[in-house]
Amino acid sequence: MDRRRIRVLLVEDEEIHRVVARAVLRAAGVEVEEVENGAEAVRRVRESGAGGGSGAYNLIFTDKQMPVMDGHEATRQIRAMGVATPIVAVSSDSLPPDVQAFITAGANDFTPKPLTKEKLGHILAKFGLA
Amino acid sequence: MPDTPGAPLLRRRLVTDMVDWNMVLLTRRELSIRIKILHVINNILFPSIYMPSSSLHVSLQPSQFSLPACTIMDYSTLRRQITFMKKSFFDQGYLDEQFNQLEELQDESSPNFVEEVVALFLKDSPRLLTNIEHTIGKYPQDFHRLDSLVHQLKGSGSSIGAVRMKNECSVFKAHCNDKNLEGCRRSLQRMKREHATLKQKLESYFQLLRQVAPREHAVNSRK
Repeated sequence: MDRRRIRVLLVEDEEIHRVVARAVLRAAGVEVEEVENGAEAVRRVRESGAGGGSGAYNLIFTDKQMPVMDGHEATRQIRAMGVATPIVAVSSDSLPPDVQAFITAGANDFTPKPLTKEKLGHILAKFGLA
Repeated sequence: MPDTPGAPLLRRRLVTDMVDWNMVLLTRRELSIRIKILHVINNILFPSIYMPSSSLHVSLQPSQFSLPACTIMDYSTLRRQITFMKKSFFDQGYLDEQFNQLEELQDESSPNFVEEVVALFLKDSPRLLTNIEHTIGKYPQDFHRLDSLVHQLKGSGSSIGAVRMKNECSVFKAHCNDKNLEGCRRSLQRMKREHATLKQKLESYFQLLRQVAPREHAVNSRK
């Protein structure tokens, strides 16, 4: 797949994580859009063409702890819209209950922070975006 | 004076001894003395001064003896110091593979990427440590808030590969879960010490890197 056509939504409130994830994603050649909380993520997904049109995202990375709306709630609301875009939780909390909470909310996968080239490669391959 | 048989080997050893002398930063006076010695070796004892393998060709003018500029010899020494310092960070467990990952992301379009990410960590972490300390001192205890703060600190440290900080954050979190305030207090003191040491090491490292950065470009363009 031509990676330049892959649109990724990065949902992360802390600048240091956005900077690192952005660099990893750009190095992989994908297009990155960033928002700083779950509510913004829900809005962007809704506006991007939630029905799977050409504006839809191919992949969403979301943090857990964020102001306004956290990653769990954002995931639930995105799924409630009928959006099937793969959602991958990226969080420093990687204990089984934390992972399970995200999966229950509707996330497809979980990866501990920080995002790396190797982790991204596995994720893109897993969701047919490599 | 033409080179005599065996002269190149002797010259190389004299120059190598100069370069390998020690790993500390040279003062301006030390640098000046070494330049003068090199000048004697190259121009008086062995006039054919070009040594491609060690890149120690130095064309000297008297006015350069007092210059603070980094010579090619000093560049080699600095480069070795940087490599040695970085290796020590890994050997002593201060940094892990994530730091290498950041370096791999650094390129011409973001030439200071690693330093920028470390700067973000050094901007966030003192604030978080202060907030943790303030929250520990509050009554009634707010372990939920403490957990949230140390979660942020752990994530920030993980971003640069600060493995000791990350591990101490995990210890702190465990004390939070157990509602063990005294454990949290002790852990915070260790975190502060680790942070201070790491900050000093990283600042020294980037200070050295900044000294060779302009020369890297000059050396590469001469090749």
